[in-house]
Amino acid sequence: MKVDKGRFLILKDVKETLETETLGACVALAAIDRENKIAGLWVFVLPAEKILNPKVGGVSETYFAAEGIDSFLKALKEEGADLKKTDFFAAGGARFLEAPTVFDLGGLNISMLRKLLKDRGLALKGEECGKPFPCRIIVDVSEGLVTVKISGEEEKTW
Amino acid sequence: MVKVLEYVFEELNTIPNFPETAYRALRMLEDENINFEKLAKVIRYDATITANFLKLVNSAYIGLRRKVESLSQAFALLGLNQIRFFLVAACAGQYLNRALHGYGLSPYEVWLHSLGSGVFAELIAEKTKASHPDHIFTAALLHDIGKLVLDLFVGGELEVIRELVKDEGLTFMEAEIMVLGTDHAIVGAELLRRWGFPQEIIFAVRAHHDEDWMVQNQTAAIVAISNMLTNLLGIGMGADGLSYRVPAKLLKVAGLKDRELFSIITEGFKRYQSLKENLLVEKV
Repeated sequence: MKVDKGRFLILKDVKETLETETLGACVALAAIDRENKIAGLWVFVLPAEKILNPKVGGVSETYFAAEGIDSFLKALKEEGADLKKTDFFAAGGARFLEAPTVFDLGGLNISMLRKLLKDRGLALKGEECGKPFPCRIIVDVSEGLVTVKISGEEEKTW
Repeated sequence: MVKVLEYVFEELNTIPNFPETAYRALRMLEDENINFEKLAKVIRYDATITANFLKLVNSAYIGLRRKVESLSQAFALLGLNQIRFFLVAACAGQYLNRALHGYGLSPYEVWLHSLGSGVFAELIAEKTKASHPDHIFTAALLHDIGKLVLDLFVGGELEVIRELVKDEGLTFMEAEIMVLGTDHAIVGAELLRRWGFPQEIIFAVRAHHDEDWMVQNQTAAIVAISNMLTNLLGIGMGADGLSYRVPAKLLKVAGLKDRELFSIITEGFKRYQSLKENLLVEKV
């Protein structure tokens, strides 16, 4: 099942995969509770709504890391996940070779994600972020595997 | 390398001309007092362009309340720039609908990248009240047309190009030039020159990855930014990805302030999503 940018999906104990499109500077956060066989995948686009100037209406809170993270974690818990036993992995956050800070959306997204998780007593178990090349992430729910595919590199599986 | 260049230019000769129907229509659209009945008569001779045009117009992002079924009906509802945008996009779809294996893109992704860039260009041209919005979105929609020609050659040398990017810190375009003797921006500009497009459009396509050239005028800057934002969102992001440098004064030349960029990303993403959801059926 494809997970669109600015959305998340959570599945429990099914023979199904969750996968993103090419991420660009967007960041995908995969969550796996292997014991309870629950997996979630969320793709956010920007670090926080407050950086929008002017504001833009009609955007889902899960488009933003800061506004969307609690909805994602809450949905995982409601599905039966134990966050203390859940492993988190991130991918995406592509960055230009050289760019002014305002264009470093990938760097901003990754930093925000690490901070938001830390504030909640959580941490990433693995990450493949910040490379300039196309990247996708695939979560195999029943096998409890997370695979990152970066163009021109060998797949990495956690 | 000379031999490769010869092949590249042979390949350039195999790309069909830009549709005569579109040229005639775009020339008619230069007249603000255009007769829309005459315009419809010109366009409807090309069934593919007409069908693509109506599909694009019926995408949700321009907020039409009812389905448009004829060119005359569409012209009555759209502004001149919207008509130009959808006309060029309808034509671009005829070219940018094939897989680019060398750049790792399916036909669907190639088309999405072109449309995404066009949507961002149109939005930024609106925000900055740019003087030539039609040139801006035309260049944005066609900016990667050179990849059609270079695809085969890049595919054969992709590993070498990638190594130069990774190990030498070159941009993808610099590595393309080093390995092939040319790059997709030069080839695209040459194609548009042969097709008789205005110099401003040709320059913007030529400049879209060159950090010195893209800051020479507003049109080139907006086209380069539109491509960058489309890639930042991962929309049809090819093997070259973000292997480029962004000059410090790019936003200023485009007429944008730093603080506006994230709102533009969000507004453009909304428009793009609407277009994609209403227009396209995935053909990966």
